Amino acid sequence: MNRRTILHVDMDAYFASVEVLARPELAGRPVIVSGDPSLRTVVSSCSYEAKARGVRSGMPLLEALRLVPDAAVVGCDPHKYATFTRKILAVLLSVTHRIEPVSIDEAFVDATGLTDSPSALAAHIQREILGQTGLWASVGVGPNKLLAKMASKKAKPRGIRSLGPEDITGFRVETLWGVGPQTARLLTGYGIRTVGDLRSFPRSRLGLILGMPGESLYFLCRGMDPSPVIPFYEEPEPRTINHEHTFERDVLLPREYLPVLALMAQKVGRRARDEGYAGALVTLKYRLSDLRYLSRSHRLGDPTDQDQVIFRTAMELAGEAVRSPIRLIGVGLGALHPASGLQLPLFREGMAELNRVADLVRRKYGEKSIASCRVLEAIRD
Amino acid sequence: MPEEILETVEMLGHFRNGSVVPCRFRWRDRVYPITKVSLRWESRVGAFKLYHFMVRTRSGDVYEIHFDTENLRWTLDCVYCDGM
Repeated sequence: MNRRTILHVDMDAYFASVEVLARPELAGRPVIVSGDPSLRTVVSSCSYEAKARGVRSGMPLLEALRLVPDAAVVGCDPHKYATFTRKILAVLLSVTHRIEPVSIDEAFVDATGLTDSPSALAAHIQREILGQTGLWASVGVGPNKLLAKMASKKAKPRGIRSLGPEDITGFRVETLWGVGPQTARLLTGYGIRTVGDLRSFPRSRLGLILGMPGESLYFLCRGMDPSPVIPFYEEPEPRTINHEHTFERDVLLPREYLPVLALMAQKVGRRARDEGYAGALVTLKYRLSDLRYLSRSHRLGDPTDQDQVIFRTAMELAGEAVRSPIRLIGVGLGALHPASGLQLPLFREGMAELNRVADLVRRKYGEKSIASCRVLEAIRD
Repeated sequence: MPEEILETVEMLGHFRNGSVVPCRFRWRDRVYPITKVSLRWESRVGAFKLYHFMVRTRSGDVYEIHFDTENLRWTLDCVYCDGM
């Protein structure tokens, strides 16, 4: 088998950099992009100036502002970033069609067999993205996705880096896929701090300590990762469809959270219908005031893609589960199957027709153009 | 944080190579010449596209405006005054 060449293209402080493009006077200042302007949200992205002072993505905004009180806080605007992502993908597609977008700001490129050297290709991509968007990307090069991703992280910001299996022995174990803080703590207990330490740990003991993930870590720590680059047009089918919402203040009463729950159910149902799925597992996700995430699920008799069924199920779950103030609520639809071929119970045909027509109206006039009375309360500006 | 405005404005601009370039706008009886378009992006409400622009005027203030293809109207979304 030919040696593979994989590139990982990762935009540097993406959302924050787009915001600096929009407002150049923010350049050089700590910039924090957050989900919404309220202080209850988390940091979506931040500039390197904010990172240098300890701010991290996912950190509560309030905590970030304690670290960097002089930061400019900017609201997150996904449309703005998506416009740039399209330009970035166009650059990657001009190199090869074998690209796998991982998220809005990173993608793998399978450059195996291309005539240019990997480093020349990486430099070309970086230059083209900068030229087309004014934004910097870091590019990692490796023989597989794992090493390419580790390389791009090392390359940040504005860099290009290539890594082979022997280059990562000194890296901390948390830099490997699948090693979160909990696993890292566990491994530290066995004296394993670096990838090199992990390599010298017996395979059988790794399996005993960590189970199946231990087996996969045995290969990952040796820089071995056979996972293919899955081109965007061969995207795997979604496992769940989720939507969630963070409240401006903690809520407890059903009249406070049900309109939002109805809106989340509407969005989940709409996406399921748009993508041609029906799901049999409805999950209610909520977050308590103390930041603990909890969830409850209910398996339906028949798979559904109808807002009303999803909402009713989620509402019942919430009625049982929500006993103390919550700051976030969300709905998920899982156990997905292609909706085509599913037979709707007769009495639900009217509901399906109603949702089909509502979808047509929303497609033409937008998500908020038609809604149930309960949802109206949530979308009122 | 920006100050939200959400008011319709009159815009003078031109269309070039399939894209629109805003040049100056009138808001509350005052004309604001645009010195720089620092960012442009698109969004969609239903079937209709919205073209958004972040523009800077001579005073150094930054304005976020959008053009709605449904009603062919320009809206001033918000203003970022110096230091905001």
